[in-house]
Amino acid sequence: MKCTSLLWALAVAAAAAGCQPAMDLPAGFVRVDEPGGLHQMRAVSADGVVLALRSHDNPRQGTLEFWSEAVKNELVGFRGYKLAGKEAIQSQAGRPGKLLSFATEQKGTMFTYMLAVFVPGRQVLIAEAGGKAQAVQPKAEALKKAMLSVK
Amino acid sequence: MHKALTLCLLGLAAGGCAEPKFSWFDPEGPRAQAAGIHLRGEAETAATGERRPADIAPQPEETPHLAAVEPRKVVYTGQFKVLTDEVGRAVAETRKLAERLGGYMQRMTGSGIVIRVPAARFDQAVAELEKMGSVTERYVQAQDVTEEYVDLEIRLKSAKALLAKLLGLLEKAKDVKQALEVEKELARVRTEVERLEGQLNRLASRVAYATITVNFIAAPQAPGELKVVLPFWWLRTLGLKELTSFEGRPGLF
Repeated sequence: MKCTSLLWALAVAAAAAGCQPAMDLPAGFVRVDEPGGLHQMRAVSADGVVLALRSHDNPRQGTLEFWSEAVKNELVGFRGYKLAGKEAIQSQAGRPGKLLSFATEQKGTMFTYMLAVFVPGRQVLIAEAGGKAQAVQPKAEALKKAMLSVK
Repeated sequence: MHKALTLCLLGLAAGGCAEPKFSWFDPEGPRAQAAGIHLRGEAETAATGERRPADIAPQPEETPHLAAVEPRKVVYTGQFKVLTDEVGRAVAETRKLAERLGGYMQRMTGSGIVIRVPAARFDQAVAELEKMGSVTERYVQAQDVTEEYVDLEIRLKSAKALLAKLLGLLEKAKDVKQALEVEKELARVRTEVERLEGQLNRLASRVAYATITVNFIAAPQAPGELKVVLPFWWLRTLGLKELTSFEGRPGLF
């Protein structure tokens, strides 16, 4: 009986671990996860660019279009971000998504915020990256590649 | 010879100067009246057709027919009030606009700016300013200053000619007293030349560069612009502030 319980516990743990979203890190980034935080994972580069992944429940099964618009409206309509780009993407696992790029200015400094949205069923996966525009720009391709590696 | 020099100075005083400085010359006195000399500014003299003594004073040139003066000298000014979402950014962009058009910023505050742009690019500057928001007040003026400009040029030319004549007289002075009198008049005419040159330069600058004053006003949110907050709490946690804060310390924002 004890052995059966242990096997069940192991199976549940393995399943849970398998459900945790993850993505590959670009070169030059170090993981800085904070237990209990908003993000499933976060990583930083030495010059302050942050890459993160988070997931949220999608019980009413909003579509990819719904969530990408909701995210865009929140950032543009309420936070003063400017939409710099929007494109349809596909993760390496073949999942469709949207990549949104935003620009904003703080005290004369330009910042870039990239955000990829994927909607695998009852979850919304958000991959984010951002920092000073001059630090993000040279890493933009590597950051996009990392976002496409979401699984 | 001394008498001749005195008469020359009398003529100069009457011809080119608003106020003669020779102590021995009474402008209203019998000598002046006998000589037919009246003290007036140059323009008035020209307007009344009175002539200076022909042997000394520079002959006033005929005022050119102003309609024929091309190109016209025009001073462009514009004053605008513009409603905009971001006042600070609009001020900064206006400054950049002036520099891009070959002009410069003259004055700037938190919500207003005065720029100078080459007159030829005035229309372009106005068109670009109008894209920065909703223009609520617009005042554009084109002031034709050709007459003033030509008048200043003529007065300057006359004053310079007078200066040359006085220098000639100085060389002919026979004694110290005569030389001192001419020197005194020379100093006054030199000052007049400098003053006229300054006026002409300032006017030329106003013609060359249009002046545009813009006051930006923060646009109030239109009542019809109702924003609905979606009932998904995590949307409020998006953005650089949350992304870049670690260990409870605020991030970039």
